[in-house]
Amino acid sequence: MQFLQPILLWGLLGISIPILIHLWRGKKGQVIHWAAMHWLATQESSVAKGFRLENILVLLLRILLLVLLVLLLGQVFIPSVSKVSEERIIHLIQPSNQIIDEYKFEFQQALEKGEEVYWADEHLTAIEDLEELNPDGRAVNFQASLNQVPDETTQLNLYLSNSLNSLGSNNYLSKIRPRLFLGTTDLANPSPQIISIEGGKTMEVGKNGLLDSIANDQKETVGITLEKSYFAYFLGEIPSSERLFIKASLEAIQDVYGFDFVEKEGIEEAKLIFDNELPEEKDSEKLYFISDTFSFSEQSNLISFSDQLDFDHSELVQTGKLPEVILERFLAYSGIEQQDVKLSQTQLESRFLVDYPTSQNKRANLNVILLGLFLLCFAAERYFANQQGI
Amino acid sequence: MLSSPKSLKHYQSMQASNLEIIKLNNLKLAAKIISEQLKHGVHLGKRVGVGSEFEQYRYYEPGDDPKRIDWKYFSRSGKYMIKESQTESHLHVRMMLDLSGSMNYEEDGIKRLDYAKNLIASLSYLAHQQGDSLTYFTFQDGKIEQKVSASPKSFQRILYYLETETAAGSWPVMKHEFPVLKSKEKELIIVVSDFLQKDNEWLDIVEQMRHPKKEIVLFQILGKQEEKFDLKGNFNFQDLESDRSIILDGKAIEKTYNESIKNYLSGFKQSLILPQVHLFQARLTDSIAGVISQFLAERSLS
Repeated sequence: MQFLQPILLWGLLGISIPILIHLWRGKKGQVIHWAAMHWLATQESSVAKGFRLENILVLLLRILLLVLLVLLLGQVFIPSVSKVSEERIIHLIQPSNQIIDEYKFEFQQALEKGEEVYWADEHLTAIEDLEELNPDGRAVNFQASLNQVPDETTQLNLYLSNSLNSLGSNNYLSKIRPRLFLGTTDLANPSPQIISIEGGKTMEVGKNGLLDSIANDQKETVGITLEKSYFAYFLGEIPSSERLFIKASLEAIQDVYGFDFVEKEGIEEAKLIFDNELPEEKDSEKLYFISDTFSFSEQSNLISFSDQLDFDHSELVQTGKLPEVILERFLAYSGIEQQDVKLSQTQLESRFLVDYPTSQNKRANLNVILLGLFLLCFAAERYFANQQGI
Repeated sequence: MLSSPKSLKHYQSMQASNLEIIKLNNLKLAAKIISEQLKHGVHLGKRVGVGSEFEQYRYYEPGDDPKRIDWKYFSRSGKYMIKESQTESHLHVRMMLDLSGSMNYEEDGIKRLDYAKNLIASLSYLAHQQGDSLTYFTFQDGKIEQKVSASPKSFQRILYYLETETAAGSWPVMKHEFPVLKSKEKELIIVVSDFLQKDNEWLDIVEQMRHPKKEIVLFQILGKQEEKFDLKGNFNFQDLESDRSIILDGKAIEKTYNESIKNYLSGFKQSLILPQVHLFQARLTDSIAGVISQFLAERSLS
C-alpha cells in the first residue's frame, strides 16, 4: 500500500477528535431534569472514574470515517491491484556508429525479445532490423524523442556516447528515469589550453573541462595571453540595482580566478560593455552584455538577457549563476573553446530530470471502493447517532 | 368543532394514548374523550328518581312507592301517575392540584403537569355531568389558593384555569395550618400531585383535611425512571425545584436510589392507610382513562 500524498497521513491525528468528544461527553453527562432529588445519594460522587467511552459503535464508526477520509485524500493505491499489464521496455539509441558497434549485441537481444528500439531523433524512428542500423543523416534530439516515449513505458534504456558536446548543456525531461548506457568516447583532445594573464598568473582548461590555475611556467605551451585591456569593462545606462549585481559577479570571478576587472569611464576603452540597449555601432573587438532587451543575436560578441539583471527579475541572479554565464562567455570570447569531456555517471544522470506524468496513470485505484465505504460508514454513523440521540 | 357526534365517535373508536391526548392541548375535548373511553361498552342511562326538576309522568307500577303518586293529577284524570325527574347529586367535589416545580418532570414527552391537568379535567367533566358542585384549589409556594368556587359554571372555569396553569417553585418543609382545609362539610377531595415530600408536608396536609364526612382521594403520578431508575451513563441531574445540579453515574446510583425511593413510596402508602383516604399511584405511561376507571370501581365498592 502506498500513498501519493503521504503528508496527509498527518490527518490521522484527527482521530483523536471523536475520541476526545466521546470522553468529554461521557464526563459531562446528559442533562436530566429531576424531581426526586431528595433520594439521590449525593454523598458519593460517583462520576465514572477513569476513561469510559460511551457509544462505542458510533465512536468506532467516526474513527473509521476519519481514517477513510485520510486514505481517500492521501490517494492510497496498491500497486498489485493496478498491475501494469506487461513490461514495456524501450531502447533509445543515439545515432552514432560507435554506439552501434559497442551495443550491437544488446540491440540484437532486445529485438529478439520483442522490445522496442528507437533512434533518439526527432521522430522517434523505430528500428525493426539490425541490418538497417545506419545512423547517417540522423540528427540526435534527446528531448524530442523522450517526449514521444509512450506513457506506459516501464523501463527506458538510453544509449548515448559519453560526451559533453553531444549531450549539450541542457537538462532533459523524461517521463521515467532512464537507464544510461554509455559509449566510450574518443575525445579529440588538443593540447591543453592555457591562459596567461598579465601579471604572471597562468590557467589551464583541465581535462575535466574546468578552469584551473596552474603553477607558473612549468612547461612552455602556446596559450592565449590576456592583456590587461581585456579586463576593462564599462557600465552603460543601467539601473543601480543591476549595476550592483554585475559588479558583484565580476568581483566573484576576480576572487576565484584572479582576473582583475577594471571599470572604465569611456565606452572606447572597455572590452566588456554592460548596457540595457543595443549599441549603435558595434565593435567586433568588444563583448556586449545587453540586459532587459529581448533579442536573438547572431553575433557572437552580443549576449542579451531578456530580464533586468537584478534579484527581483532575473533567475540567473536568483540562482547565483550570473558570474558563471559572464565567465563562460568571456572565455569563449577570449578564444578558449569548450572542450569535449567525459561526464561522470552521476553528472549524466543529473541531466535527466524525471517528470512523473502528474500521477494520473498512477491513479489511486482504491478511490471508488474507499468512497463507497466512506458513504456507507457515514450513513451508518448518522443512523446510529440519530437512534441514540447524539 | 369536533363536538359533532360523528367526529366524536371517530375519536372514541381510537383508544387515544396519553401522548395523543396531551398533544390535543384541549382539555375539554380531552375530558370528553376520556369519559367516553370510560363508558366504552357500558350503556349508562340517566338515573331517574326524586328531584326538584320535573321531567315526565309515567304510569304507576306495582312496587312503586305509593307516596310518589301524583294525587293532584289523579283528581283531574283518575289515573295513577308518578312524577319523575333526574336524581340530583348532592356531592361536593374539591379538586386540588399541586403546582410545585417537581410537576414539570417530563418523561417520553409526557409532562407530569399535563397528565395531572387532563386527569383533573376528566374527573371534573364526570362530576359536572353528574351535577356535582365543583371547587378548584392549587398548591404553590406554600400557599393554598382557591381559584374556582362552586357555581353552575365551575366546570368551565376550572378548565379555563387549568389551561394557563404553570408549575414552579417548591413547597416548604415546615408545618403550616391551612384553615381552608378544615371544613366539616360532606365532600370528596381529589388531590393530584407527585407526593415527593422531603419531610412530612403532604401527610400533614392530609391529616388536616381528614374528617369523617370527607372522603380524600390522592392521585400520585410518577415517572417510570422515578420509580425505578435504569438509565446508563453519566447524568447531570438538575433539580426542578431549585438551581441545584449534580453529575452522577447512572449505574452507580441505580441501586441506592431504587432502594430508597421504593422504601419511601411503600412507607408513604403505609402511612396513608387511613379511613376515608385512598391513594392511587399512577405512572405517566398509564392511561388516564384506566386510572379513572380504577378509581371509580374502587369508589363504588366502598
